[in-house]
Amino acid sequence: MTTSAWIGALVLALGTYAMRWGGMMLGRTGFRPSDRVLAGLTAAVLSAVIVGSLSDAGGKTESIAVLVGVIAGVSVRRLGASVSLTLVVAATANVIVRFFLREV
Amino acid sequence: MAIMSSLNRSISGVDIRTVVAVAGSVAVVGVAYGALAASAGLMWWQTVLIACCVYAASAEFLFVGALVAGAGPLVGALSGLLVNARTVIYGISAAEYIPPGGQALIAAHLINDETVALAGASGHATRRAQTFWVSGMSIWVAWVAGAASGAVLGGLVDDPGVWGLDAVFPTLLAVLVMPMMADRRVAACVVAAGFVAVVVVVAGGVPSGLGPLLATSAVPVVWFLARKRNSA
Repeated sequence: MTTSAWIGALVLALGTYAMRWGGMMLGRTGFRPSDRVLAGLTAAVLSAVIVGSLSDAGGKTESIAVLVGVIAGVSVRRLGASVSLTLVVAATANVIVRFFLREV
Repeated sequence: MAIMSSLNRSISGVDIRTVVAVAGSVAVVGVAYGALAASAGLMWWQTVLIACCVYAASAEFLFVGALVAGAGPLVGALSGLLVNARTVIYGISAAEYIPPGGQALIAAHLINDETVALAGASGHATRRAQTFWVSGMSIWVAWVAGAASGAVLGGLVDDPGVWGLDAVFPTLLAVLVMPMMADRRVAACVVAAGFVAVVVVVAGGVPSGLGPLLATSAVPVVWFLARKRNSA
């Protein structure tokens, strides 16, 4: 690794830690919103991250396969499946749909 | 020692199977990251050091990807920081169940999508803290071990999508968000933020990482509309 790569890695590590720590400090001040607003903010970010995961999948076929995997996983979870089984179902559905779409 | 005794107390109150499932999938993604880092010319210990100190998968992929593409490490680092900007909101959320003091210094490093989502879905504050510590430590170990394996074994898992693992992460987040949606306003936030994120993706041209931050703009709008409706 070059010197600039080391500096980049250091900037990334320290900057990431500073944001996490800074968020915790903000949470302890008067800035802290109510529990419901905080739940709304956290859920909103997670929701956007989910959408981002779909678009980052690598292509149209991959995005559709990921979406079907998520729908399949959430569906079995709503039927009472454990989280681990839910994840297995999502991954399996993703692989099947990806294979099917590529064959078609 | 304080951390270890707090971990020992914690394990009994946590859904270990869920944590193991999440850590397992993180480890496999870590193998892919390690392989990418090896192809960028990083020594195995350099990959492990970055995985230990940054502990943020998507930002590390961006950073190493920038090295591979020759875009420059500082560009990669700044892109990674932009992606990680959402951790500020996670930090505000984690402050609810992480007490101030020495432990908070370590806890800050463990804040990420999975730990905050798992903790947030765990009920009362004590249980949230337990889940945060157990999942944070487990996922950190899984991430570092996966990165080390990938760095040593090379292209064993070039594309986690081949195993369907790219669906595991968003599914996990969706499953963990579901209990939060029992509150109608939070559910409205999820839908509105998802809509904003889709618009950002379709519009294009927005740097990676800004989507989640822009999506939070939906929250005050939802709260304002709900208040207006209640007062009407």
